[in-house]
Amino acid sequence: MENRLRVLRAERGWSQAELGGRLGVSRQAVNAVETGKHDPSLPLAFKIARLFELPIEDIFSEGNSNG
Amino acid sequence: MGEGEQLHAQRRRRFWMILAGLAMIGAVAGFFSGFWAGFTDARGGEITSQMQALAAIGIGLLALAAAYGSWKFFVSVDEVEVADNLWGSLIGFYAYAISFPAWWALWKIRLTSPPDHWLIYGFAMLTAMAAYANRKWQSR
Repeated sequence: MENRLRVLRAERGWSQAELGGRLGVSRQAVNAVETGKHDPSLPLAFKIARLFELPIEDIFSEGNSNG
Repeated sequence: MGEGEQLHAQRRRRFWMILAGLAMIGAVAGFFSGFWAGFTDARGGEITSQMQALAAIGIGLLALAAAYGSWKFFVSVDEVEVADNLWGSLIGFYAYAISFPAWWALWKIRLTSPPDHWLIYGFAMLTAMAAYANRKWQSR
């Protein structure tokens, strides 16, 4: 799965720790999602979508998955 | 520091507090088991029923503390941490599931000594920790 998390985060000037705090996950978790090493669960994906006020499909799209 | 970074810092503090608690349980277990071994050795290996009861209570309390600490850890960490732990545990389990019967079979054909369970336990734990550390390294 591919995502635009890094771009969206950069647009808001947030660090990975800032985004992690807002999502209730660690900085490492944000990094793992951004780099495609971890596909987020549906609850986390919805949380991300709510935080950025975007539909899930505008953030995540099908692509190469690393599990 | 932004609102999210403050929350993140709190989260990290909580994480390390729980980990320190678990390490403390390990340290207490190590200290008392060492003390116990020295104490019984000094008495020529003699164990009274009172000592046995005291030790059983101590072991029970430590097991409960470790179980509670592990539960607390798992309900407070995020899904990536849980996934890392699951992968580490799974690979550690495979290390055990493969190494014990392999060693047993080698022993049966008289190529090795009988399987040493503590050695296999240690190997499985080390493999699990290496798998966990590898995942942590990749998402650092």
